Formats: sequence, C-alpha cells, structure tokens
Amino acid sequence: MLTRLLALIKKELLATARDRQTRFIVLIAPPFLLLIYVFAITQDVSNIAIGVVDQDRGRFSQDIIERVVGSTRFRTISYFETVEDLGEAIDAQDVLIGVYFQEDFSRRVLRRQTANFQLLLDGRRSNAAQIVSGYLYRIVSTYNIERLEAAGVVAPTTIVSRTWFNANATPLWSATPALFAMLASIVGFMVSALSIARERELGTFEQLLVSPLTPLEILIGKTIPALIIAVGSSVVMLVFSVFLLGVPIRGDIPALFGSMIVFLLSIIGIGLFISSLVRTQQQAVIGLFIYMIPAVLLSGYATPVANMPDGLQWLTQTNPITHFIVICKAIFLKDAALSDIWAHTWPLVLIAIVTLSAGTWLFNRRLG
Amino acid sequence: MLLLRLGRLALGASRASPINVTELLIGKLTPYFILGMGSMGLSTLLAVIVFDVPLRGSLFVLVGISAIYMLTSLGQGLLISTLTRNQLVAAQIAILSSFLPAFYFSNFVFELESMPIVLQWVSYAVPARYFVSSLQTVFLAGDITSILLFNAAALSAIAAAFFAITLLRTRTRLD
Repeated sequence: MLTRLLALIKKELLATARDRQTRFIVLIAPPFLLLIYVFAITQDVSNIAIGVVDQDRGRFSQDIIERVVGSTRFRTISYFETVEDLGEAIDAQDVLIGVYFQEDFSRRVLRRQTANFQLLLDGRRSNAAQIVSGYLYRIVSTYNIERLEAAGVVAPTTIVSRTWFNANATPLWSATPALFAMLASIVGFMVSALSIARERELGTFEQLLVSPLTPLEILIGKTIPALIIAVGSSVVMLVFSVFLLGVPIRGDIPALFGSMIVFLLSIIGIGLFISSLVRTQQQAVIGLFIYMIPAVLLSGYATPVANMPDGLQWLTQTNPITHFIVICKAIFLKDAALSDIWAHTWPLVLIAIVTLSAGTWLFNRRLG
Repeated sequence: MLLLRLGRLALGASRASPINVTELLIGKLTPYFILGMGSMGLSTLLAVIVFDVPLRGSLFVLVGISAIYMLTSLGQGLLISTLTRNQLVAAQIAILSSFLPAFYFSNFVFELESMPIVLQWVSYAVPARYFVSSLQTVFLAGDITSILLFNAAALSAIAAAFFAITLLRTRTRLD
C-alpha cells in the first residue's frame, strides 16, 4: 500500500514541478504577493483633502484651521464660500471631509459660550471618514487643553498610549501575520480544489480508479502532495517576512509549524470537498470563490470579529482562517504561551477532521 | 455591495479554442455576460430590499456601469485563458488575479491614498477600483457625472485593452 501511495504522491509532485507556469504560480507568486500587499495594508489615512467653509474668519477658527493645515496627514486644503459649494466638492470626491464654521464662532468663544463647528463626512468612504474625524477630534482637544492651560486652568485627564508587542506601532508588523495566514489559505485552496476536478475533466480519473489504489489511498495521495506544496510556499513566505520585512517571530517556531500543518490540512479538506463535488475545473473555481470570499471576509482579517453580529461570530469559530490568523499574530508578535496557541489549534484539528472526512465521504459517494 | 463582485470572473477557465476569432468570442462571452448581469440584479435587489441600502442614482446608470464592468471581467478571463497553456494554470491565475487585487486596490477596506505611490499607480489598472467607486456613488450619493464618467471611461479603456491583447494573441496563434 505504501509503495502505491508513494508513487501517486511522486506523480502529483512531479506534475506540479514539471510545469513552469504552475511552479511559478504556486511556489513563487504567493511570497511576492506578500511583499506587495503588505504595503497596501494601512490602518491610518494620510494625504487627506479637506474642504473648509469659514464664515467666521475670526481668530479662533483661524487657529483651528492652522493646526489642521500643520498636520502632515492633510494633503490639500480648499476654501469654499458656501456650504453648498462644499457639498458639491464632497459629492464629486474632490475633498473627503468638510469643516464648516458659522459666522458667530469666534464671538461665542469670546463670550465664553460653547462654540461648535460642523464636520461633514463622506459616508461612501465611511471607514476613512471616521478615522479622519478621529484626527480632527484630537486636534481640537489638544487645542482646548492649550487654551485651558493658557487661562491658568490645569488640563483635565489626557491619554498617553503605548502599543504593546509592536512598540513603534510599525504597520508592517501588524499586517504581516494576518496577510501570511490569508495567503497560506489561498495557496492551500489552489493546490487542492482543482486536483480531482482536473483529473475528471482530463479523463485520467478513470485510469486512477482502475489502478490498484483504493479511493482512500487516492484521497491521501491527493492530500499529502497538496500539503507539501502549501507548506513549501508558506515557508518561503515566512523567510521573506523575517528577512526582507524584518518582522520578528518571537514565539515557538515548532508550534507555528504544527498549527500551520493542521490549518493547511483543514483548508485542503475543504478544497478536496469542493473538488469532489464538481465535474469541471471551471465549476471548481466558482465553488472555491463561493466559499473563499466569505471565509476571508468573515475571518476577522478586514474587520474585527468582535464587531460582527452574534450569529456571525459563532459562525467565524468554524472558519479555519479565523483561528490561524489569531495563532499567527500570537506567535509572530507575542511569544504567546503554548496553552493560548492550543486554544486555537484544537478547533483547527476538529475542523480538519470534519473537512477531510467530508471530502472522503463525498468522494466515495460520487464514485458510486 | 461586495456581493456584486461575486457575479464575475472564474471565467479564466473558459479557454478559447482558436478556430474563429470575433464571433467565437462573442458566442463564448454572451452567456456569461447574461449570467453576470443576472447576479448583479439579484445583488441589487438584496441590497435595496434586505439591507435597506438606498439607490439614490438612476437604475439606468447602475446597469450601464455594471455592463461595462462585466466586460472588463470577461476580458480579463479571456486574456488569462489566451496567455496560459492549460486550464489548471488559467484557473489558478483567475483565483490570484481576481479576488486579491479587487480586495486591496479598490478602496473597499484599505485606503488607496494612504498607500505607497507605486501601489497607487498599480491600482489604476484594477477595474474593481472604478466599479467600487461607481457603486458607492450611485447607491449612496446619486448620479454624479464627474465621478461616473471618469469611471466609465477608465473601465472602457481597460476592457478595450484586454480584448485588444486577446485578439492579437489569438490572431498570431492562427497564423
């Protein structure tokens, strides 16, 4: 049995290694994509275009505008006569955010009344607009504190923040572990979801079936080469992360590899399930998209799981990508305790068992 | 709104057999075009009825821009299938080249204007960038001509480029 299995594994690996394009896509492209996309992941917003309507033209509105202009995050500042003009500029996305001072702004400050100004945000880009409004709040509160201190009043509470595990708050550090987890899952899908569908389409599947291999052996013979290729690609990504991007791996490396193998097995299980379900490679790609896009979007990669509705939070616990992102962050940046890593590895083990058995079951059923 | 992206691509696998050029392409693409537009329609209904997203712009503009976008996706699929040697590679490239660029370079999650300038240049070649911007505008803001015309022009240019390269490559193969 072992020799038969080894022969199939060797054949699968050769099929990937022989073809120049496949070799490139599966082994070389993902690490380079990591190097490109890691720079696309930005949590902050810069180069902001801001529009101002200052009907006050007094000292205090000027003070605030100066501070905004002085901030490096804002690229351009444009002035408008009326709120309607400002509104049009926001509509046309010439500016992301608008600030409107009414004519009595400075007068109210001098009269020691609360003076308000209005912030207009573009709801089409709600993420960016919210972050920018945070910047403006900070500018205004700093200004308020300075005015209080100038008046001889001790400033009320202020916040001093420090980012643990990423002391310089380097975006690369926080972006790399999650991106690595996501790309590893895509490689896992790519090498598994097409494999059985491909043999069906090419007509070589019948040849496999009439060979002495049992269905289980065929499936193992499909799983192991996929695992080897995906692990290989992941190792290159890890090397790139550490040596080219300078991201530390502070935690236990054997634990990273162990959980990575379980994770890739669960992904390959899903891929093989899809592959047994469909008849052609084209259907396999469509099936893969139907699973992969929601899985990535609901993994906590782009939006925190804690912000999702309860039902979805529960669902994310069955998503292998969710767990592996947590593991990667814990091992890369935190040197987390093994028990913390295990807390996210055992669900992966469970998911892997379920997906691989489901793949085997469907595969057997389809043979009948 | 992100659902609208699903109705496309995965067409990398539809490998054009080099028999007859233009009619063959049209024949191959029309069913996918209709399918894609159908799923667009469903997604729109879902967005408006279930998620209460307003549709402030006109339906005509929404359908028009989606049709152009569908052409860029079909063009991309065709181009992939002419550039690759077998279906497996075509399918793998379709996986890598559709989801990831659309995810990162469309202003969907990450801010393009905060990215390094080189990546901003790259984003101009990503059709999803213009489509996401158009959808945001048509649904939430209305028919704002300056934004929508620019996006439609950019998408048409990309679609034309994809089809032109495909035709050129297919012709050379025929010789």
